[in-house]
Amino acid sequence: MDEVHHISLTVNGRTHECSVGSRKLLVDLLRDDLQLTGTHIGCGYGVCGACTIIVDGDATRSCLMFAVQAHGASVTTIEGLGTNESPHLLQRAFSANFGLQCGFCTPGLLLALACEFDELSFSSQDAIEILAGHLCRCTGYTSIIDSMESAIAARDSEGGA
Amino acid sequence: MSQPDSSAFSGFRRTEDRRLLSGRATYVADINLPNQCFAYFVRSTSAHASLRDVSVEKALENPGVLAAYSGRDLATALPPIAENKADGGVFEAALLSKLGADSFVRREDRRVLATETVRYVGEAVAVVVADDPYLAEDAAELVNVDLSEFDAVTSAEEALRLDGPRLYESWPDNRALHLSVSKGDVNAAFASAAHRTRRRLHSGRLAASPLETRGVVAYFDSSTGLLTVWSSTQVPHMVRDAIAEMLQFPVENVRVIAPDVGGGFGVKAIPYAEEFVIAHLAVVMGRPVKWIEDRLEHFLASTHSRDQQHDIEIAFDAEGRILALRDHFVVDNGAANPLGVVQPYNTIAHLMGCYRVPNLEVEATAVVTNKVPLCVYRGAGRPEAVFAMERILDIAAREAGFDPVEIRRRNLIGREEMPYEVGILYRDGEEIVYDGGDFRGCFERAVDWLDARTSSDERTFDGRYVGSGLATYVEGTGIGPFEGAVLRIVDDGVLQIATGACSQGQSHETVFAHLAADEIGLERTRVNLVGGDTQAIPRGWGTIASRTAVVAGSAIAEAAGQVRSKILRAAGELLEIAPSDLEIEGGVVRVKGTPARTISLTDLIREIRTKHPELPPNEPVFEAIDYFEPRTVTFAYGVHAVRVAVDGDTGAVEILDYGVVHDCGRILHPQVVDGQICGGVAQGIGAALFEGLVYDETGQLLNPNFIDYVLPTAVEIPRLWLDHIEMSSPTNPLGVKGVGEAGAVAPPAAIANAVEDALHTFGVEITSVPLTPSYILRKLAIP
Repeated sequence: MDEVHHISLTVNGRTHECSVGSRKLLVDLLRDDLQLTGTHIGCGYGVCGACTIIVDGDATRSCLMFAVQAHGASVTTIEGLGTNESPHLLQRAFSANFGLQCGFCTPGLLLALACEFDELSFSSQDAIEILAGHLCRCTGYTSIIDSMESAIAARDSEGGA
Repeated sequence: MSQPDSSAFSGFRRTEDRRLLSGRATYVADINLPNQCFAYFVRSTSAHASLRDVSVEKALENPGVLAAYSGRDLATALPPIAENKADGGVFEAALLSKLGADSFVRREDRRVLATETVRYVGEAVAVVVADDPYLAEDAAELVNVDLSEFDAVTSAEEALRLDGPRLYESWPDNRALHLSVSKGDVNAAFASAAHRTRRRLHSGRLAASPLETRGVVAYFDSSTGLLTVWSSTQVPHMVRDAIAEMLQFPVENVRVIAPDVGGGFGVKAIPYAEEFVIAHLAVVMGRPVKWIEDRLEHFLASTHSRDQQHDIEIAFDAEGRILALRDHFVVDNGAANPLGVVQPYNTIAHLMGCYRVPNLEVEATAVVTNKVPLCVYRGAGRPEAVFAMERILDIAAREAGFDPVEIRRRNLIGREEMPYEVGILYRDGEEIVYDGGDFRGCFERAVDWLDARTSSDERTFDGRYVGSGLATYVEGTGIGPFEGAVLRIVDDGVLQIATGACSQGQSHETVFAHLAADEIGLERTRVNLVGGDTQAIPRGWGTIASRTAVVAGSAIAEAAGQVRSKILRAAGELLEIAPSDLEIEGGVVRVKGTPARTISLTDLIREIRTKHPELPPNEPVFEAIDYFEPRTVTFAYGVHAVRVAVDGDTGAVEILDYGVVHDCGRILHPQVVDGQICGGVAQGIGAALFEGLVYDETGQLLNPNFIDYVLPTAVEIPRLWLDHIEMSSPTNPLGVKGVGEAGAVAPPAAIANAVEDALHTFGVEITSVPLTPSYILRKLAIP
């Protein structure tokens, strides 16, 4: 059996004390132990991007990280992005532009974009690199690009107001 | 681009969005039941072998392991799977009875876990159940599989060799299917032709690759005898019926629920062995059992598609009119043929497409090989047909000295010829009759758009070779036999809809809610739709084959009409006015022309309850059930136009412009239709340029992962130009035609035509897809 480690991490602003085996993946800790099932597993080896979360300010593939590595970390998952009453601009924009169909890739994509959202600009290399790291099999991507651009425009008009 | 409302949030555009965007959706992997345990399947690493022994003893000794079974252990409890369960066999029997005696489908019932022989890498041979998924996977490694290898059959050519190995000993050869379809006198037409062109063309093997893999959770309640199975499937009712039969349960004791499903595209359109095994384990173990497929398993254990090789020959007269078409094609079906005629017959039925073809001869042969079995993937035989036909048209036109645009103009069926009798049968056994459409108008719109982007002397762009291509398609959509809807307005005035056709991302909860609300006169937000729960509606067929808008949509519309009539009748009695003098808007019944005389739906229900105690307690529940049974399919069509730039040094193909003109009848929801087309085209671009499953000669799949099986990303997919023609279908009350698959049907053909146009001065001829950089470079190396 694997060795058990006691770790502490903050997820969406709440601190959790957990006992995890050495090999437990962070995505499994989130999904199975903390019941945060909005983080999805599409491939399990870091290619598709569906499991992307924010760890200490960086967009991170939670299927490529062990839970023990998150000891002391601050994590944001899709459940921590926006609220029911006040969704994140990206969430609103994805809905407004039909930037999702089945929704399976969406949480990872939203978090990757949200992570850089304050600095993101139209058609920048950063934006393209973020999008290119996420597979979507439903939309054909155009509506995702529209969603991103409309969220950026809304951010800028809010900032300017 | 729509600006999100950034001041005061006014709600999501789709009903689905609130939960999907906030991480509160429930995909099958998100279902966790108290006391659940986890299954892991042990799969064959050999493509073709006899199973001498499968021993689970060591696995059983491992920590946390609760049970482990080999195929032989389960052989008594679970009978072999009869493969024709999937499509119900309804259409296949009707079709085969009308085709000639040389047409047949041959099937072998297969064990849910192999008992004697394994026939592809990935075939399940044992299952291990443990308290924890990690422990189940650990223990699976301890299952000892003792194999004696046979020679593997890894190509259609090998499969057809009479002296080669056979997959099924009881079969005379490896042919799983032969279909023979003809009309007119092909030999005479070829003999009289001014031009004849023949080529061998190949559409590669693909994996649909929804981002969510398959998964099953099963729970048996021994106190009620009810078995509940959650599965990531497109066909919950088919799965329910198959589980009931396999486990010998009464159908009413099995409930199958397709929860939120993360894409399907055909790969989730049949019942699978894992559904039976997990359901069985939940019953015998008395605990909920969960199995979630991983991505490697998905490549090795979920069905593939396409993989057709065509020897196609076309004959023209001196003016470029098609005289005859002859096509003998072979499908490399993998180790089984779950859907029988579906994919190959779809190819036959769609081969002639938008064109007048007076004489036709098609012979289709499907062979079994030691690869993952084929099933359907978006388009289901149509992209292969369109690739063969539109490629041979371009090649033949070039040989005969015709312009590719002009050759199509001369052969497109005219609007004045509608309805057009094609002269062969559709897959449902009915005569193919194109029920309307403007093929030429559609084509000219695409040509005009393409012309505006192309200057005649422009052969290079940015140092690369530029070419353009066109492809047309016709698509039978909305196939039967039926789909149903149960509509019910409950006391709070909310309309509940249940239908057997579930969503894998197609926005049913939005589109059908709007449809029913508008039909009745309710607010669009006061509707709940349940798709994919067999308890909510007794019978269903499923979301496959571009059929749901047509068949489920029509059932919902008809049932909504009945609900509306019931409301008007009840309100008429209460207000003492003729129902025809009433109207419903926004959930309020009004007297026409007297805006002050109104009654809300909730008040209506309460009033009748209190003032008419003589009514039974279930009245007034405004309820209707409707099953829509189309006589046959309705035909959507379209034209794709594309301009590409090919890099002669790297072999990379870039899509410069991509346009789609199509007719899916009345559009129920513009953005949802656009989304279907864009998503389909993106998958078609993947098929044209990047995606291809590669097997070696021993039957090992060499690229079962997202690193080596290359799916397109946002960088490779261009923004499309979309142009909609909306000619109502005469075959259903909504006037709709299906659109789910359309986008994926034409891209391989259109892009191949464009790439050949770019490179033909170098003598390059495109004969297969995908057009990977190495394929292009190989072609350019030919002098």
